[in-house]
Amino acid sequence: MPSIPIKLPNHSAWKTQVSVIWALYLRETRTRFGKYNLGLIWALIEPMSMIAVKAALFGFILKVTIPSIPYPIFLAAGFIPFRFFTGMVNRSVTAISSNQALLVYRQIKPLDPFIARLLQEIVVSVLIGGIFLFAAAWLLAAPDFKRPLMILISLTSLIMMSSGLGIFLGVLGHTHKELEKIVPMLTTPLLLISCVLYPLSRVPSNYQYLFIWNPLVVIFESFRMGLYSHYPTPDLPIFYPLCCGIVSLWVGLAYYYKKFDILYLPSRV
Amino acid sequence: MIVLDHVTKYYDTDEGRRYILRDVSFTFQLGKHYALLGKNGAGKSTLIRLLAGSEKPNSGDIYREGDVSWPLGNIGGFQGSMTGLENSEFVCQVHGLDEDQTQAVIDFVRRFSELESYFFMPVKTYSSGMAGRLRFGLSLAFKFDYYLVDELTSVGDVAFRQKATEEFKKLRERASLIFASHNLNTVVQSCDVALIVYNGRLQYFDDIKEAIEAYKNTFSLQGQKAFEGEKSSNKGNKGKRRNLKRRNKKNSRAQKNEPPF
Repeated sequence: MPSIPIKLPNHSAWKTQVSVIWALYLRETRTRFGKYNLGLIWALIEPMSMIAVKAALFGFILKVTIPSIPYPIFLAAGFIPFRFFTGMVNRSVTAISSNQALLVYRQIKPLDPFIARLLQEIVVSVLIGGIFLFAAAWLLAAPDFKRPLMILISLTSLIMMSSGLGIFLGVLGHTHKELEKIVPMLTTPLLLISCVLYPLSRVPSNYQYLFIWNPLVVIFESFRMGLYSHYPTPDLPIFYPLCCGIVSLWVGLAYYYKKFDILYLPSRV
Repeated sequence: MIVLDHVTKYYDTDEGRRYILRDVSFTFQLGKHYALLGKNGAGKSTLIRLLAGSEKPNSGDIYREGDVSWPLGNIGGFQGSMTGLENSEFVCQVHGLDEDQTQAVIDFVRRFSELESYFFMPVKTYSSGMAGRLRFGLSLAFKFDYYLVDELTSVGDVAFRQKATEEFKKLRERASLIFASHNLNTVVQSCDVALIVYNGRLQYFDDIKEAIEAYKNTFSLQGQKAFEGEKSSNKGNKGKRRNLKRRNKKNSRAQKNEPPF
């Protein structure tokens, strides 16, 4: 057993960064799921039950069918990335304020809570997605993965967009507390206009161009196309969401560096 | 050695730019114990956070040689919804300790803080004294060369104070203290040189007594002004005397021989 007091190890900046993110990741997981019995299982049950309810409602009662994909899989392929996006954006708004007390440790920078939360959202989404993939392969139609680049591009742009927007709103939310109320109000209706519940091909063709302005539509549709190569969809500008992602990440980080100083001050509300 | 090289720090507030430090250069030597004196809002806490590296100066540089603690104060440092154990673990991870070392720190903190079952409860359920015990114990577990203390006053009951005072003496022998406090008595006991933070500048005093004299002079001057202000507000002689008495009482409480914590 090492003796107290312990001399601090002289780690490289990279190693310190990794241990900070790991510590924050554990802290997020503990405070988010640690207080419940079964803990992390709830993170999986909640979105899965949402998908199940919606699949039952639209698939079996309203008999919505999608050519070439079973409806529950279609829904999951849209809903899981959608949940990732809204989860990341909503939780970023409070990322700094709920870690303010921990910023006294110089190893922790205000950006680190965002990274930890991003990591957590990715882990949860990958777990749920994995379960659905297995279920799909087992019970319904297995995805053929014939366009892996499309999956890569759509998920990369999703991650960049949600973290860029999240960082921007998190920094803005530090001085404007009302964002904590407004942002969830704005992200929820996105569900209806982002082609999560219905495919783009069902949208009347003279309105499709309007829908494509929403980068989320392109992301979800190209993700589905990457999974099932015969999934029918109109032509998609797949690099458009990637550009949106790059721009929003740039704006988010630039705003973060501009406001870096005030992030250490307790917010005035 | 901690070197401040032409450090300027300000905050942009709605009321305009507020300067905390203006072009300050100073070197903190290992082995000396520094007192930081200054009015409320003079910038003692900001200076401590700058030294700790929790904040960056707007211009100028700060160089650190040796391990510098995080700012030890009455608030901050813990995540309220995590337990004392989890918070201790968190601090160890952030400082890059391996598993054995983390376990050693946790054992030490648990024994030292005497929190018993509270150690396994969320920190937000703690009284300020209990949080102070955890905070103090945790900082003792690390071997820092400089301890930055920002008005750490609430460290539990009489029995614990005894222990804390002893540990504090030991700490004084192995590390440098940079100690911001309004309790002049504890400052005299634990520091040997002083810095007065005033108007964005640092005034260095080689002798702590001299510094306290100087500090008291400017301080009591302001007290005098406030007192004269009261007099003009038609309080009469009686009120004046009562005020004086109250002031004396307050002073004598501050002068009482209290341990550093």
